[in-house]
Amino acid sequence: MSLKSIEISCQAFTKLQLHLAKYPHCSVNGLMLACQKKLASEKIVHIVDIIPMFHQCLQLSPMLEIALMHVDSHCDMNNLCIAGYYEAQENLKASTDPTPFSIRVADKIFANCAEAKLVMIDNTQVPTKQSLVLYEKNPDGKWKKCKTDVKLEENCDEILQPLMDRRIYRDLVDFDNHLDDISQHWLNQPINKLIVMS
Amino acid sequence: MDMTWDEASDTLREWRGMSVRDSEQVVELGERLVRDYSSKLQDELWLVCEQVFIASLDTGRFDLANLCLDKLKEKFPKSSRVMKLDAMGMEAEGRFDDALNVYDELEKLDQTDAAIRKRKIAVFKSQGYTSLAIKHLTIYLQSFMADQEAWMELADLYVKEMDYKKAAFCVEELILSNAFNHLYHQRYAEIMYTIGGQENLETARRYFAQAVKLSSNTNIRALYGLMLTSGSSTQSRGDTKARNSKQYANWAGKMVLSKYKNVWSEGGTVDETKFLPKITPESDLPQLTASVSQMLGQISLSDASS
Repeated sequence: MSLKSIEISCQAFTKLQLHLAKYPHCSVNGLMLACQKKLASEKIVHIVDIIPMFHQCLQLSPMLEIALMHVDSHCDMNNLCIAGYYEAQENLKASTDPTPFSIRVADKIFANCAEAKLVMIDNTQVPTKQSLVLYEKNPDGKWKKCKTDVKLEENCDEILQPLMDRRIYRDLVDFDNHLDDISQHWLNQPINKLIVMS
Repeated sequence: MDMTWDEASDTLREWRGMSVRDSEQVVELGERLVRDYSSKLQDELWLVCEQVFIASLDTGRFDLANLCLDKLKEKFPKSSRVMKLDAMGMEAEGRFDDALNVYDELEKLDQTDAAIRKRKIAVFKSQGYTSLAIKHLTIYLQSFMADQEAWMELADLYVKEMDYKKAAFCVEELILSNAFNHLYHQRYAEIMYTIGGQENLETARRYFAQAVKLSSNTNIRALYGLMLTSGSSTQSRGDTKARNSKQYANWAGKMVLSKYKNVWSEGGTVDETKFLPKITPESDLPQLTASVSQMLGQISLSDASS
């Protein structure tokens, strides 16, 4: 059981909420990237970015594998590592217990990062911090709720609300959007810039 | 929003034809039409009311929904189509039992009404009763076996439940009735790949290849899938089939690479003067092409070891 702290940057949190807002009627998933150095030296899981992935047929593997390869490559070039996976279900009142598929993906991520977190979204709490329900892998192999607190970077709410009002989520690109039109990139640099400038 | 009322009306008509579910935009365009231009729309008003009603439910605009429903009820007081919309309103409010009662009544009036039966299945899905939804959808399809939307929905439900073999069966039905739709071939291949095993990977490869061919090399998912499946099916086999597989993988990979590069070519469609919030910045392109090259490299490596 880990007592190391978990921090989530404004960019990561905002993009995650934008992804949920873009597809309120679908289940969505995505990857969470952490700073490699901080993880190795200070043992702090600092989620600096998220990559929104799919909003249809989440439970199929080929495109998931392609996405993981692309994101791995991106991480290698930028001193990041895949440290988490989030999944939101379609139904408003869906349970926040990890789904069998989410456990499979999280296990795969855990194989490369021992601090990996599995995040299920509580749809009734969106877009607050309480919507993120974190799980970590116990020594017995099961994913249990994290005991450590999650810290959000300051001013996350103040940055998120104007973006939602301006409907910026319509411009968010997830991996599915990228596969439909490769001129759109899942890194969402334009939105990253907007968040930084806010 | 700079559209004139008839442009808005044209757009809504187009979206009705294509069954687009962009509820925010529909509400934005349609509210004005319903409130201020209802006389100009004449008979089309009722279709617009229905469309805007459903979109309002999606976006939580119950005020607008009630306005549309009142207009429809006034015009068509005994219509079962309007009663169905009323029940959808109940669904949106979470009053699922009330909605089901209305649907049961409507079903008694007309046993052949497919839409009502599908709404009942939607109610089960909304409540999270996926198994029940699957059961009723299967029964529905025994009577309405030409309903492609229903087969696709059933396939999606099975995939959600990770019951891939049954999902594959549903997509097979779709391919039988639409042999030229590359999306169905691609979906089938994805499901077979997910099930796994040498034979299924080979099947996946063939269906990805077919999807690539039918889409005239434009289906990126199929190209990636072809790369993945051709690469993995060459393990420790030095025969002609394995060599061909590796060639398919290389070809698919090169197609993907050239498409990424073409995004920025002189003949490409990127217009730097317009603000395009989603377009890939040129600086991100090398990393994309690098990771595709890496994937290709992995495929070559796995073959080189045999």
